[in-house]
Amino acid sequence: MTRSLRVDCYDETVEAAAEMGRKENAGFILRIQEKKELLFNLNNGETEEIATTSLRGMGIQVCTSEGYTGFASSDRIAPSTVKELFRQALALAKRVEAMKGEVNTALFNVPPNNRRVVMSLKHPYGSCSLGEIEERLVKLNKSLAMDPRLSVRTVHRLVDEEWRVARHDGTDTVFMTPRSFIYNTFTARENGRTATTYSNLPGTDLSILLEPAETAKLYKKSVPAAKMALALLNTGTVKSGSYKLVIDYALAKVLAHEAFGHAAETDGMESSILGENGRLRRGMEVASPIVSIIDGPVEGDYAYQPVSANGIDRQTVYIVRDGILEAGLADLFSAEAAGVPVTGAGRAEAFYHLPLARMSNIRIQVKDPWPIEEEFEEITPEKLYKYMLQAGLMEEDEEVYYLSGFKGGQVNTAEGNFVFNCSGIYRLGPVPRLYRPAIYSGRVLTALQAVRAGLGPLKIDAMGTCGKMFQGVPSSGGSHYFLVLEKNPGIMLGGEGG
Amino acid sequence: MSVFGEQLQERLNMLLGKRLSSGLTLTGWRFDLHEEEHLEAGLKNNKIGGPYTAPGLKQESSGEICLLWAEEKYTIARIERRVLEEFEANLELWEKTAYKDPYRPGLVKPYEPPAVPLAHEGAVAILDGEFTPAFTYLAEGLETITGYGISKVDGWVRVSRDRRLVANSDGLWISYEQTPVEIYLQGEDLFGEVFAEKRLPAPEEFSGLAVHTGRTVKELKKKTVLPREGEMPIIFTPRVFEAFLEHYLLSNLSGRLVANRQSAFAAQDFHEAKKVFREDLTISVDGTRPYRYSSYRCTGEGVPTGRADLIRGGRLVTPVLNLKYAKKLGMEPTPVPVAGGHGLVIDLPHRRGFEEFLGELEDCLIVYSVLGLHTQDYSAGKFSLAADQSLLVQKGRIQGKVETVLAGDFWQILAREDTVFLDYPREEAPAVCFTAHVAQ
Repeated sequence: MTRSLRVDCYDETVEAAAEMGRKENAGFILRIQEKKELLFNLNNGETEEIATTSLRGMGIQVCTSEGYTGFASSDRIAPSTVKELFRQALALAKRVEAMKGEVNTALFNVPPNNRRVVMSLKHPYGSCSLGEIEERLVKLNKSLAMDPRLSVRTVHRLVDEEWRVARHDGTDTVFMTPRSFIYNTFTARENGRTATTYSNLPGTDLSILLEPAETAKLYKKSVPAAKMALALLNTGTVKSGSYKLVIDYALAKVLAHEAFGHAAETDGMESSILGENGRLRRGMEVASPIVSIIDGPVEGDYAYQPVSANGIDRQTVYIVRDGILEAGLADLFSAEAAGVPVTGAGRAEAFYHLPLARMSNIRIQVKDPWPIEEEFEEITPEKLYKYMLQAGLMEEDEEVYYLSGFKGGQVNTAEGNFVFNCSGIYRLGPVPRLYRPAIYSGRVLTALQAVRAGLGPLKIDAMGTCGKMFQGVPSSGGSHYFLVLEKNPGIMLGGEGG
Repeated sequence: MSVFGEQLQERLNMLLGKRLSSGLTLTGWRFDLHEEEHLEAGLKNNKIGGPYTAPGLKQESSGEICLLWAEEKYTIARIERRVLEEFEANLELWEKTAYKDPYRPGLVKPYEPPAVPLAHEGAVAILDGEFTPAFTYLAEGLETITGYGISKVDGWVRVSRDRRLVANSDGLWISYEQTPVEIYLQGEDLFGEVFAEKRLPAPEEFSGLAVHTGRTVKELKKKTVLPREGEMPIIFTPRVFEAFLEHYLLSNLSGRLVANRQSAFAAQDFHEAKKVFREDLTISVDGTRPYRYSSYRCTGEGVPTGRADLIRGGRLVTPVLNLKYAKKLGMEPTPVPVAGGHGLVIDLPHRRGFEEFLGELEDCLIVYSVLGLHTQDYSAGKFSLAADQSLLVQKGRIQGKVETVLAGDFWQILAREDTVFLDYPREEAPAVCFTAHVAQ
């Protein structure tokens, strides 16, 4: 028997929902969420804000035996409330039926699940005094203010979140989704010019602040980011065009997530470039034959979620194996229409949301990567240039740009366009030259076909927040330390004449 | 709401002036409570309802509480319905999370806020159970848009009722109701348009939304080729312009970023009323307009709504300031913009007619959406973006959709005298035409 969680105390509410399901002959998914959150915000050595958040509530998705769906949610968790919500959701489902709305009976075709995932965290929420956390963050923030032109903001967020998902078929699953991060923003200003860069360290608990190895890692990431912000004050822009590129693992995560993962989510298959007549085009050649793309939960990861918001175990999926599209990210309600098995991909931000098919940790894996034994944080652009030469991936005077640091991205899955941005761009050479960030944009399939090689071991802790349909859920992923992309007219860097 | 508020007030007032076991003494408090109900309904792939867009009723009570302690200590917390049931445990947490802040905000003295009408009876009726209009919007939107040959229509309706209470220990007690309404329609995953106000749309407003969406999607389905790369006139539609204003201008006008040297503008720039944009440009916030999405009676801190110029005659007037950053920068607090760039009021003495102006241009691009705006460095003002939904126009005639990469400098767009602001059908905010670099 594992230790008890806060959501364990709602047995009567779960039973009341089951009773309603039997009485009304309707299926349901009940989601109960308990979340505590702690936020620290520091600027230039001073604490600006310490804030706490508490969120509790439940949402119930009711499905009539004919397959019409309604939903209701409340921040009250009680047997009487769940009965009232059930009635409201059922009435709305019947209104959908009256309007000849969408029919989906997948909820009745899935086996029950009673998995319980209780993680053991080394430094969980509440294990360290707030004074000590604040003291350590102030010290970190001050240590990064290495130049008077720099302003440094540090944000630390710690989330202690539990879910309980129950269904009419006896499913009653409980899981935790703890997460944490420290995020530094560096703004350099001089003579009216400004530049902003970032560094971060994700985790699941306070280890990112309390474990010396973790804080050392953050410091190693942060110092180059701070120096880059200063250096960007006096740099130019790359002339727009197509080039051979090297991207770091954080950008590779964005490439996998934005440029490909969203298109593989089965709830958008009617219009996705990876779909045809609503079905996933399995067997389609979508990437270079050295490329595989994998998505799945990784324990200890920032975006870890072992069970879907529909109560189904989340699987690790080879979306692409050796360049061939093999599987989709399929939630309960869209898998059948897309012609693929359910992989437990449904996720929701909060109890009042309806789940969508989403990624968790997505990574690009390349065959036979060039080995690198150093830590990623040790590799400067100068060293990268040497590795590229040693691996035979570039000539000495070849024009190759290295895109460093992730700043987000966006995709149109219907048309297969994507963009993402970096913190800075280096022209690789014996003395690398820094340029201002510019977007990397292009076509999804072109970009994946352009992947030529990987350097270094897999590193899959790049963090982000995915905002699909206005629901923010944690995401993560990565690749080998670096990916090399061949010059291709379908993918473009920048947008300026130069 | 008032019972909940009164009980919370009572619990907090009992603590005023008392030294607690943690050693802290409460000297003041404020809270901002919301009791919300929402009806949502959606449309996906031409079908109403379904597992991703099921109609839903949602109820939530939440808010923010701030406690002022002796010795410049301060606590801020998000609270939920059970704060009273678990008051002692919450109080213990609030004491633990108290931190010293020499710029902690004070309390607003009691006053009578402007009686801006914000609750619409049609929206209230929907939340009282008359759900039909919400579904009718979806059905009519679907019918109108498919009439333009559009094969895939998506959308949603969200009608809310928010009973709000802002109070503090100095006797401020402002309670009012508001009804935000949002309706979104989209075709072929190419283009969508939104209605957002604190009232239901008039019939002609709703049909205008659906017709505009259908027509625009129809145009965007016809592809053409960009004739040349390089400098060319670009027109940002009001929605795109508002998104740029939000990302670049509002970010850099944030009091927090200005105070912490993370903005393109320094505090001194405001004190000197530095000229940063063209002389005829004034940008304001105005929370007093009846039933507007961006209107409200007071901020969460109790600062009254009002109209405030942020940029006047091209010069910096004030950052957006809450009580803390007003104190830190030695300036007055301001009303805050709600709904980002959509909540800004753009004043220009001269706007050209959209259709007439298009006819004068040899060629131009009308940009309906961009990808990746949030990835751009707000502090630098420069942009390099993919414009995934743009129409090429030559001699006033729409040629079809092109996909381009745009590069430019948003500060220059607002500063240059040759930037042209255009009246745009159905929109209060202008479209804006400027020259930028375009690549395929």
